[in-house]
Amino acid sequence: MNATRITQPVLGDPAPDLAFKNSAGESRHLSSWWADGPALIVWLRHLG
Amino acid sequence: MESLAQLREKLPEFEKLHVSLACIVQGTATDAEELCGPFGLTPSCIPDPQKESYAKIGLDRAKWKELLFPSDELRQRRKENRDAGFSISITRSLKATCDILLLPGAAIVARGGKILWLHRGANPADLPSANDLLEKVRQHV
Repeated sequence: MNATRITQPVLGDPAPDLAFKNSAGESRHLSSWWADGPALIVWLRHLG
Repeated sequence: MESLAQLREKLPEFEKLHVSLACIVQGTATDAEELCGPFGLTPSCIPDPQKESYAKIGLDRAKWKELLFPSDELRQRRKENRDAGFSISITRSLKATCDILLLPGAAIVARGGKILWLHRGANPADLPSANDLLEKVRQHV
């Protein structure tokens, strides 16, 4: 069987980055949130 | 939605602690603006239409039965949302970028990117309240 193993981050690991475009069409990175200080990241459940 | 309202209310306290807030939403930049704009949180809302960051942080998916036959906790969360004037938008929930089963999560990340605290939702109602998140921030920052 050819299973893909996904390694989930744990405490102390680097947080995953995400490249995205904001509503103004500017390219940004999630990592810019913690570039100058700590950040609280919340993954919302759905668009309800 | 209710989470956004709560987080908006606590935003000055996060700012006082010099903590940046990022709310990741399952949608395009336009979806994120539509969702977060009414709460004045557009600059904090990050679109993730491919749900890439949800997968990278390891968030799981609920089972349909958890939504169709909700736990007391989820029922209570829905009631609180309704009482606070928030309702589920079927139109938004059915968008292609939205995975209604994907569970919520939260993390506190240190300057530079190290994960200090991580919460992966175990069920659809399992996202700490803004008060609890603020408390976690105070403990870890």
